[in-house]
Amino acid sequence: MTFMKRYIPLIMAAVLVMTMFGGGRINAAELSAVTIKASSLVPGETGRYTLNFHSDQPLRLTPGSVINVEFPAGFTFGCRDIYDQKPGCTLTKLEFKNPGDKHYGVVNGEVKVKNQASGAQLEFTMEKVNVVVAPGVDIHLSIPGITNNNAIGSYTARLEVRDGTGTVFSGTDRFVLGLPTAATPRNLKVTESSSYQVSLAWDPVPDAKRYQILFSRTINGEYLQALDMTREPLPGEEWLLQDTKHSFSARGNGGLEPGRTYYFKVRAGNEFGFGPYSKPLAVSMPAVNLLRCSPEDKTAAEISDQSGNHMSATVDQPVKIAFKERIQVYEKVTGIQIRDAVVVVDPEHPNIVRITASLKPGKEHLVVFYEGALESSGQPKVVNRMFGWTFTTAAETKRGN
Amino acid sequence: MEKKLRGSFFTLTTLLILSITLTVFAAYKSHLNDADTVRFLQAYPNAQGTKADNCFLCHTGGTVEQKYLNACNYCHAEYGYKAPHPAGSISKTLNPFGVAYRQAGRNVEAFAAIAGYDSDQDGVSNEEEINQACLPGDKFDRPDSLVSPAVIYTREMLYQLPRTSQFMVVDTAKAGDYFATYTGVHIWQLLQDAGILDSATDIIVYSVDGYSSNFSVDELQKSFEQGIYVTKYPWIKFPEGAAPKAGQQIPGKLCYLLAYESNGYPLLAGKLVNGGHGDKVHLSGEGPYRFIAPLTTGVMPDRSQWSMDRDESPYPYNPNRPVLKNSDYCIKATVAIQVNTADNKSYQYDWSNKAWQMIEQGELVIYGAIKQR
Repeated sequence: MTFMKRYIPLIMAAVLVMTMFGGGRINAAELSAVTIKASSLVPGETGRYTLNFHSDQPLRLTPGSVINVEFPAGFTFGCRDIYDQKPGCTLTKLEFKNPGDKHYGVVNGEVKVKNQASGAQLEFTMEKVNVVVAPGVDIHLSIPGITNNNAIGSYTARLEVRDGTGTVFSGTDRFVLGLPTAATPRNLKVTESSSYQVSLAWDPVPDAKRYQILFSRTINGEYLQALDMTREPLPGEEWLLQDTKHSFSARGNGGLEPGRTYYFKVRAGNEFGFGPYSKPLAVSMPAVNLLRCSPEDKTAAEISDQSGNHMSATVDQPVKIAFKERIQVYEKVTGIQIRDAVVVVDPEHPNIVRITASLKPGKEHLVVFYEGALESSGQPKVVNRMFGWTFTTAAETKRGN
Repeated sequence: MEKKLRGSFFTLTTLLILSITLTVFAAYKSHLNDADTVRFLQAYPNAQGTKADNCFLCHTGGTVEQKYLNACNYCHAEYGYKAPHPAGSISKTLNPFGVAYRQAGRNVEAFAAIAGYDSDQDGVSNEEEINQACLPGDKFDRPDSLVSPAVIYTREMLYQLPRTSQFMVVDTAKAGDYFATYTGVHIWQLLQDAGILDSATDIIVYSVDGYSSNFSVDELQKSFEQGIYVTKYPWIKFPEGAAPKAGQQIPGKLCYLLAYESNGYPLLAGKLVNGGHGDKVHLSGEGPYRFIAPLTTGVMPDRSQWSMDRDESPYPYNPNRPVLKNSDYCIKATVAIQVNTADNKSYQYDWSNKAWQMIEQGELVIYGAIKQR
């Protein structure tokens, strides 16, 4: 009788859980090692949660396989149209890498959510998939657009997977919401390493466990994380910068541009999230700039002698030619490329680039210095933005006289 | 591509992307180092840079949802880009030579083992076809095949055709998005100038590096609504002094172009260089001509797939929205346009061995289902 009193509530609870998540199936299995990571564990903030788990049994994923996720009261799933600027958990995805796979497999699906006073539920129904995930393989369910409860504390999320065989796997994990670092990094310094790269440094913040740098092209614009990647981020990967200096060139986002101004700011973080930003600091990327050209832009000019037609670009610093093929002369109307152009830096005036070519008389021409054609002699990897100008050759040249 | 893998050379399991060395072959740069490409060139070193040194040595085009797709597009439509790949999908994309190669063991020795076969049953052995820069898996391609009608365009010829400019967005997956004004010839006008036949159904556009994509003639004649001009998102570049104001609807409509200028300057000729994303070989320069495909719906370009905050709002990286990233279809360093009919996708004009020379000289060839001049 004592035995019954002790275990009846547990059995009833188990039946309740299985009814909620598994329709009372008897083939439920535990998911091993469910762990939760989030881009923000700060109360009230919205971020991406990644639920990592694996199963000790094979998971057969087929169209219609379902994952149910339940978060406690106070959390909400934001789920908007796929074209919306904040599509949220519409972009939920499952990623895994079976033994022998070179890349992560990605499974997408239909997402339905219920945000209720008792908690928030998400149902992810897989589409276009037919694969067996091997036992022990880490599986990552990425759910963007989860807004945290407004109170610090410890919470539990539940995860249930119903695979293509009808087998139900379930598991839970606890996570903690807490406050981020309160202090702001000070003495941020941003220096230009080249036309395409900046270096940043700041004073350490006590108790900070990581830092995040962001950049934008306008002071009040959107800011992006200033981290260069040469690969796709791993599932749930977060930037863990523990140093107080960093070098950046914006590769994945198209790159920093010579001559442009950018704004950088930094913030300190702990295991929950990040504190306030430092004030944005502007930096102008150095560039080789055109001071004047000859013949002048949009002019008709006599520039020929016995050796051909002469053009020149005077820039604001001594340069060398980095890529000769990026300096071109074209006939403007026909687009014909002038092939015999000789391009040199004037040895006596190393800030003047001279071009000699045989040009047809009476034709409008276009001189183009594509980006990166010239490199500063004194500052490595400081290059020109694209510039060019047009002029018209005289109706009759004196060549051959 | 920039940003993407778009073609495939016998990618049976996991050979779809990455791992590119500086060695430059003609095969599309995203597949330069595919094991099968390397094996093929070990077996037939003289085939490097020929027509056979490409995805369609082993792969064929096919029809998906009633639309014909060329080898690159068909492979990715069936096989996809990322695992998990549908079971048997790659087999569907193999031509008879690709099937024979796989059955013979899919190694260097396999090429020797099937050298004497006539996989496409066109009366010429595989080895003989490869040695003569023909495709051993395509029965319409043999050494004595009739050369298709062709028109070779120079810059001068293209500049004489009606000139069209459009300010537009280019939405990429990895490399960052941008606005630019592209100027060139409306592609449909160009095809008409080349004498496209009424029976033409689609075109295949080839880049100098071997990448290709195909488009139906119906879509080439359409125009598309513009989107909003934005300058506040750092992943989107924009030219200084652009006419539209930030936040406003861009006026006009978009069409398919063969562009020769960007932002008022001739396109820099394409060149394979090292040091792109992941320090790999990439095509630097867009020109002299770039096939320009518009974004068919005026949506906001999303974040880069290779940025740390790709999942954050606004506009997280979104590979699933039903609008193709037009950068994948804006083909840099375009050298050839093949015009097909419903029953002939194998028109013959071998530009492969002079592709880089064409880039140098500013030439573009249109061939296939066009009037004989």
